[in-house]
Amino acid sequence: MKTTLREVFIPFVGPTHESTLKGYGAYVPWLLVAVLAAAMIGSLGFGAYPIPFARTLSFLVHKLWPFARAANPPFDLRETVVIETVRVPRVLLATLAGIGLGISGTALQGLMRNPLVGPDLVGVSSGAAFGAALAILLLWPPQTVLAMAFLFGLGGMLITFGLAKLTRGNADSMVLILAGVFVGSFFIALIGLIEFIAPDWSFFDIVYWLLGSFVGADAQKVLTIGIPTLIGAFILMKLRWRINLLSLGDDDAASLGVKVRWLRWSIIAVVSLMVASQVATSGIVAWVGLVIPHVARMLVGPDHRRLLPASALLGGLFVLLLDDLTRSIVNAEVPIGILTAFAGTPLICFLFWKTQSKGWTND
Amino acid sequence: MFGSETLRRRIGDFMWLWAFLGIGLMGLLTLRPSPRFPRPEHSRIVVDAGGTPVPIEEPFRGVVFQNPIGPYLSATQAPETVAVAGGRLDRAWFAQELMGRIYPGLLRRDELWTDTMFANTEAMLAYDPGAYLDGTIGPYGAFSVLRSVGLPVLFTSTLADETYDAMCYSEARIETALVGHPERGEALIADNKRAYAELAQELHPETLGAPIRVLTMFSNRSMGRFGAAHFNPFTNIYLQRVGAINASIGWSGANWDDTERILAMNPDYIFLSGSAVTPPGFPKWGVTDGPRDVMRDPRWAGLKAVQAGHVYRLPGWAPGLLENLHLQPLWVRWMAEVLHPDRMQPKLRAMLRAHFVKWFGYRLSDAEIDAQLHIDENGHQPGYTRFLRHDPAGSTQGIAR
Repeated sequence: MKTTLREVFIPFVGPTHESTLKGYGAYVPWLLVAVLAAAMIGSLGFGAYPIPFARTLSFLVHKLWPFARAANPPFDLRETVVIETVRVPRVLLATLAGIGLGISGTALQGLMRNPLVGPDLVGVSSGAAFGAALAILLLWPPQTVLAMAFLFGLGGMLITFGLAKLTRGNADSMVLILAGVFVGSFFIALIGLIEFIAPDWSFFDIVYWLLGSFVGADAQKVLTIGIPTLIGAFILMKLRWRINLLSLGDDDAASLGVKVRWLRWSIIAVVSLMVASQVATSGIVAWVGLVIPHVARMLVGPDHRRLLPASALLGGLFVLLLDDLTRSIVNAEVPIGILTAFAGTPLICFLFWKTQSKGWTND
Repeated sequence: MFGSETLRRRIGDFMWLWAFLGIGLMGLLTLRPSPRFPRPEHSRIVVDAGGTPVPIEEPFRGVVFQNPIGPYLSATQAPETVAVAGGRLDRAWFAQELMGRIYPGLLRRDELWTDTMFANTEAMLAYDPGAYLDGTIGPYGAFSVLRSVGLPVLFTSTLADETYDAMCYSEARIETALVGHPERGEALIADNKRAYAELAQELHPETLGAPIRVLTMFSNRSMGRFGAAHFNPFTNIYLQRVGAINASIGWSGANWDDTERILAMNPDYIFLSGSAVTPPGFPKWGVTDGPRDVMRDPRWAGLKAVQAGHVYRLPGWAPGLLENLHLQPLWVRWMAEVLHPDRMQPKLRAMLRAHFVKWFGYRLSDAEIDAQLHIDENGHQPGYTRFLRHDPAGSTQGIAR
């Protein structure tokens, strides 16, 4: 008997409940959008520059509402720079990174019918990281760093797919995952070589970048991640019901009119683009794509028609809140990748422990 | 099909679209031109190392740094222009430096020392100084956002500066121009060049024989770490000036914890970097072994330098041979006196004292000179008697004019 998507993921959501919020699933999208919007506005109040939150809100009202009365006292130019030039791009960058990673992880887990798959496993993250590290070593300008990360991220993906195709592996097979692991390990070794030969002034830049950070967010980075992420997320949303059908198996899905092969490679390509853009703009932010799908599944169940948007919104919220934490806990900013690892590993350990007694088998 | 429950579900299913549209619109808002600070009404222009003319508001409100303030103070002699000096560890380090003794007032001002600076654009904005100084133009200068909104950011050197001297000269020119005294920078550079010329006149390096092979290394037995500090190419030119070469040339990559490599280099002289004492709060790895520790270490017993006793702690506190413009030629002279005692007069103590009286009006005490030359560690090494004070009682406290 084939294992359906529901059966694969039931250990994570409980045997009798489709979702933790059974009966309230219709309200979850509203709630998540509202919470994310509130978090984004609230995040504009975090930072080292002392601006009272009420004043930040007042600033937003004055910028967005054409009939607002003049501010008293008027906004200082520094306050304007802090909110418009420093915080808004950073909040957007963090949110978009979380959206991209969350929805990518969910799509991949649904595609491969494996709850332990993440966006890192197709070689994109490590390839993009190598491209950026190489550009930093060669002291190329920031725009070139972005471009190199993007190119090498896509290159890593292509190498992974090429390896999988050489062995005639399918997109849902372990062969693709193994190929991704091999490619990832290769790029990590290359990154190690770069760190070894890098002079001091490059070494710290490389290491700090690899840990993941939203420092230095600007309009260019927002666009670099925003365009692929929003377009990619839109495409995945349009394909979400087809991902549900994939859970029935390739033959059954094909008999229902799904072009299985095309669908798989399309999803992987879209995911790769999104992840490459994220790594290119903010370094490696690990664990989000692995953990958020599970949390979303607990909330809304395994149906991808709800799961994908929930993952996207939850991912954005998760990364945004962690970024607020990085700017708050100590004077010097902790790289976001460290916090996502601290938050993600206990969670995935809990989920892993929870599945031990349940397991998942193909009958 | 269109009952209220179904309608709610339909709308809920497309809530994500509104969220994405909202985020997309916000992203487009970032394309608007950033606000820019207007040029100050009263200002003067200072050109930074990259050739960018930067308007500096008058009167000058001081400078915020991304680098240690010692070189800035040594060039400008303007402690009143320091708006932010660094973090807690920078303060401890500064207290140990000569500049900390010459300008002790800075250490007493808590508001100058903060740990919020590193990579924090908002914290830097909050200080509102007259200028921001960063060391080197590279892809990841922390002040790039500040410059993009029209704030006065100056880079003091570029990656095109091929030598440490070139970097220091660039820094001195820009820093002294910033405080309104460019003549100080030019005078310092001229004095620096003169010092090297005088050294060459005394040493005649062109008549020396085969270059002496020198290895700069550190050793920290308590941490189980040691390594050769060869990878910074800036130091090589100073060795060439005193008829020496870097014994680690030809060995690529880091030499951390590799006994065989050090043994294969087999230098004639070993100069130890680091310090036997670190300021309170500094990590333990900052403490490094001295000449006696290295010479007692059985791993190095076979080295030529160890067998001849030619193991010395480098003077000063800067990491391995790179100092500010005042001390650099003096430490190069130190090397010359150690390596070629037959050609060099034992004048370093007197030169050190005279230099600081001339430039800072500060008379170094015997104890301060001893500390700079690490007499406690090097005093028993061959040929080091030339650096000892003549009066063992000596003075302990420096005197400011």
